Amino acid sequence: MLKPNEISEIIKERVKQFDLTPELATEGVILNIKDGVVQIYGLSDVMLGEMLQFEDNSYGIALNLEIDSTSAVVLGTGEQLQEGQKVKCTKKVLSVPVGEEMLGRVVNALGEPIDDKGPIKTENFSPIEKIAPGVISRQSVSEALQTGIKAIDTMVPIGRGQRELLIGDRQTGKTAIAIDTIINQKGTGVKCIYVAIGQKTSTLANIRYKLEEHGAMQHTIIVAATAADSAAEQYIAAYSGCAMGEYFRDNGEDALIIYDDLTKHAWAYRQVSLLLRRPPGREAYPGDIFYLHSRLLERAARVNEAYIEKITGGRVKNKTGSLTALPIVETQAGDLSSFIPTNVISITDGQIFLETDLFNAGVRPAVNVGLSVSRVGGAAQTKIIKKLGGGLRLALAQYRELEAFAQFASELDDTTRKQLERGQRAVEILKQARFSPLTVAEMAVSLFLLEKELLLDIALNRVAEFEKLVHNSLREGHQGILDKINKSPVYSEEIAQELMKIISDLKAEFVRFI
Amino acid sequence: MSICLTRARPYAKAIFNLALEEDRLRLWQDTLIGLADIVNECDKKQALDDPKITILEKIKLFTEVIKQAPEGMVNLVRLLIERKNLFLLPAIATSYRQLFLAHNNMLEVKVTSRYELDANQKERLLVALARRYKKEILLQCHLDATLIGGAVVCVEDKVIDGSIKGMLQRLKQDLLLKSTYAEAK
Repeated sequence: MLKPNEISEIIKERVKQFDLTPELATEGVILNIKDGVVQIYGLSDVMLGEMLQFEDNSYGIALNLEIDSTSAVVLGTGEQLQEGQKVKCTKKVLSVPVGEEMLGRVVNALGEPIDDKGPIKTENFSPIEKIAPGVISRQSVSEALQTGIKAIDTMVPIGRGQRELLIGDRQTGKTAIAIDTIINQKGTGVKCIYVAIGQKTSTLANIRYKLEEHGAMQHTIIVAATAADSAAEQYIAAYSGCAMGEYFRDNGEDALIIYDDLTKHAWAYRQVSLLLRRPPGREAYPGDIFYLHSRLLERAARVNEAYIEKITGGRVKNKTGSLTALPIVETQAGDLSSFIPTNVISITDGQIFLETDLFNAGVRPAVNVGLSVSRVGGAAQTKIIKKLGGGLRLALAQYRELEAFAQFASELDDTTRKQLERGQRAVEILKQARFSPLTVAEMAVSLFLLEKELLLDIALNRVAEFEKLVHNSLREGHQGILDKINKSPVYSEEIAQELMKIISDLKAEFVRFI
Repeated sequence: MSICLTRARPYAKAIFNLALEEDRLRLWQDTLIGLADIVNECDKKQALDDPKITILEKIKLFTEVIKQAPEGMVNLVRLLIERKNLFLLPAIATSYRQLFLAHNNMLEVKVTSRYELDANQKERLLVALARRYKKEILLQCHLDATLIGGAVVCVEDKVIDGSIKGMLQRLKQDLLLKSTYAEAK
């Protein structure tokens, strides 16, 4: 607690240090203001993207530089602004606070805390717009980012530094996958940034509550630009979040950023662009809508040791850094070929397509394996999952082809029937409840059950139960083997035999009770 | 205003080139300012937009000023009326003045101070500004009691704020919690 005389002392110090030299600034005058866009006369040497200071001490960003005027978006409500007021150039581009201190906090698009936990004491700031690392600074993706979700880690593996799109209609579990992934990063050292763009505040509060409940807030920053915030804030939130993620990447750490979602980001940018009178193009989006997302997602990268050493000035050595991006895009009625989805699909290194039909049929996560792909993650997949889950994609594809015949079960020949049964069990094994991420070892055991055809004599509706039983008993009685797999995730005959023995015993017991 | 200036600029440039050829830069400037004053007068402004008033009648409004004007002036007014651009005249005058000043290597500087500047102060200001901008300085002095003390120097859109008011404002900002995003290094 400060005493009154201490306060006076602090103020005295501050007044003493105050720089009295006259200030040279470029000033302009507000010509008009509407819908969060201000037109300013003057400001002959304003920079693109420069922060402008208004009379009420709020800020704006200069976005359009014309011959006689500058158009800027206001950050905040801009309620106090009036025609004729002065506007000052600040000679700075918009920067946000970054650093470890941000973890566990909920901040707005400008990096200011909105969670009532007091000010954030960080000394590091970073401009929100930065050019992505160049070719020389990069390294190929070689380490896995475990989502803890069987369907994803086996068939569409994600590597650290990759950009994997989560795409699907509303209510198909896109955000659920993202949140599960954040939760699964607990204890792995991967820092997470969740950027909420244009979402309901209630949804966001829910997400925060869930993250806290699962102890995932300590390694997470939430950047919130909800539906109530201005379009300008929704537009810059993605870049602010990215700047915070880049800090970890550039300091030799691994980070994960989730943009939820880029459809609304594009809408916000479209609104800003139209108000700035930029010419509309397809679906009224401006011409640079592709660049809007490509420059954002290019910043997600894996960078090499030399780059980090250079950036940190030799403080961090022999470490690579990564920023993995999981952008989310919402489709309308499963239409993948509309403008924003096709753009983002072409930018990212793969997509996870979630389908309403699958979701409603109870296949959750509702990943459509046929349309989902990971272009670089394969190199980063753990060996044991690669070995055990390698055939899964093909088996599922064959199953989908035969699925139509499933109704004629009795009239089918043995091979077809067996293939169908195997496929049904594969689908069953890939189902997973929310907030229950699995370790590599647990996942490997599930795949082992499938691969060794240990489920064929278990009724379809009891597969999940049996899987759970196996996991639980391994955790309780055989933690050693799980630890062994987690430590060095390589498949060996020795492990196979050990697992086989344990599971056979369990199965004998399980089947007996039916 | 900015839109007006954008549209007025080609007119001002054309007039300036014409005046330059005729070597009557100052005369054109004075006339333009006179015309702009008329346009700025409110009741006549309404008349400018009135379609019931014919072009000739509208030109008559300006006869007083045009009388001593160069020949091209009547044509300019006629052109502006035809194009319904008469309201651009003040902007044209401003734009022309900028060209005129640039041509003569002159710079207009607005000084707002709390108290009247004495000759010595003005002289020092002129010398300092002339050295900085390497141009002949035209000083326009204004008084403003709200400044409390000191002066504000405006050169186009550059503002050098040395007033007590400005300093107090900056001190206030400095003492209040600094806005995070504006304080980036």
